[in-house]
Amino acid sequence: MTLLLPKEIRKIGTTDLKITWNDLHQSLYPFPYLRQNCRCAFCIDERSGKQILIKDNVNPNLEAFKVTPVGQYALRIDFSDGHNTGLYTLQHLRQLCPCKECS
Amino acid sequence: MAQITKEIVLEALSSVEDPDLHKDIVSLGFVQDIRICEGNVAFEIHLTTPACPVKEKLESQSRQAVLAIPGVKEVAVTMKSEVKAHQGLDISSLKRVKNIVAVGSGKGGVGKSTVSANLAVALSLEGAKVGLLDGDIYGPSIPIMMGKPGDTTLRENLIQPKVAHGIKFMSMGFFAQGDQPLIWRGPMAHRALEQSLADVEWGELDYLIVDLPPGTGDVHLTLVQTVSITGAVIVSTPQDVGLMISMKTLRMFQQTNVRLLGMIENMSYHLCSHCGSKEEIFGHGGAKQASAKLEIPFLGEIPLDISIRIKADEGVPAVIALPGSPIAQNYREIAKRVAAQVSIANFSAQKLEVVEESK
Ligand SMILES: Nc1ncnc2c1ncn2[C@@H]1O[C@H](COP(=O)(O)OP(=O)(O)OP(=O)(O)O)[C@@H](O)[C@H]1O
Ligand SMILES: [Mg+2]
Ligand SMILES: [Zn+2]
Ligand SMILES: [Zn+2]
Repeated sequence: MTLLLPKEIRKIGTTDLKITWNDLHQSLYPFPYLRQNCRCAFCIDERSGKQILIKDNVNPNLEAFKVTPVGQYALRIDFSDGHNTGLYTLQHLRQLCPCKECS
Repeated sequence: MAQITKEIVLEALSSVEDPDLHKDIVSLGFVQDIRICEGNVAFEIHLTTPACPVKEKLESQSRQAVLAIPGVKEVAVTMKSEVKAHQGLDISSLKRVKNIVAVGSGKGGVGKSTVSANLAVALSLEGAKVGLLDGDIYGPSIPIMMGKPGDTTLRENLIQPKVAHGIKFMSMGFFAQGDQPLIWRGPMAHRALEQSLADVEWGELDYLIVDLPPGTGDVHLTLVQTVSITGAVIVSTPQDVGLMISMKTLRMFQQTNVRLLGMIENMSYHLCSHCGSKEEIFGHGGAKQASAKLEIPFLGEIPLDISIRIKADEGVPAVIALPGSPIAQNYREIAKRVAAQVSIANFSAQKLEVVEESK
């Protein structure tokens, strides 16, 4: 069983996150896009699964100050709007890949 | 006759391959301290675990390889070991803990605690430094199996683990009892686990085995968020139900990127106490098939045997209570396979790291 793992995680300035996966696929995520897809309890209702965060309200110029690994399976992102409660699991990140092939 | 040199000896030894790591022992850096005196050659082989399943094989192959060099009359091989540390154990009390191995199962009662206790003691019998943490706050059984229930002591604000049968152990359940130290008042299993890791003086350990509570949940998540574990071992019984539930647990480990070191089938068959023949009670081999399908290592089968339970109830794990028995032998083989998988994991492990690129 091969685990899905990143070969490299790069925070590019304060605007994008770039992940090269162990299957050599590359994903480039603008931080506003990741902020829109946060799954924390403030952004998505835990019980109903309903979207609370209005995606269109996310500032398209939103930045991220810091990206921190959590264990071996997720990243925490400190966004410039002060939000940092979301855990982005590697699995979720791979699903979120915005490239043409994936979406 | 050509002079025997270090290079010639290394050349000869590079024909010996570690079957688990798929590399020769010279490029793995295992060969150390070569001394040559006329026809006498001495060297050390440093393995990645004292519980190496192929220790004897590597020793004899190395000896043969060097003996085959013309002019060599005598060879002295010294086998040593140093367990490689998994990266990312940043908590200060765990600084000297080299590997954390979680033992999980889908459902309860499959014998996970019994397996954990016997594995831990088996690893220590091979010469490793071992700790065992009972991660079950509600139904702690490790202290009973280790023969030392009761309270723990504090020293300089660190909780002292108990010691029995060659290993250090600790139960989150100690803190579910009467008079609790202040720092343990946190009611949550979450907090209890964090503290079992951070506030216990584990000292230097090659392996810290964590017996997880059954099923999927809090303790598992806390564990993977708090520390970087080397991997997990899954215990299941041959019954299909057991296996199906184990799948959920497997998925949980996968989702949190925990490496699966392998699967163990417990209560796999029954050794007839009269004739020693194997009787299959629940049918057997389910875990072996499942692990093949999932491409994770199969670590072995443990028979259903009343003496395993009796010894556990008496507070002495069977692997040490019945030395030399087939049951003990079997546990020790399985423990060596676990150790081998830990070594393999550490050769291929990587830590999540974020590279900052300025624009
Ligand atoms: N191979 C075996 N042969 C016979 N008895 C066994 C074997 N393995 C475990 N047992 C017995 O089965 C019972 C359950 O074992 P154990 O407590 O280790 O299971 P567990 O999976 O840790 O359970 P729990 O989910 O309650 O934590 C115990 O009485 C134990 O002695
Ligand atoms: Mg148990
Ligand atoms: Zn959020
Ligand atoms: Zn993609």
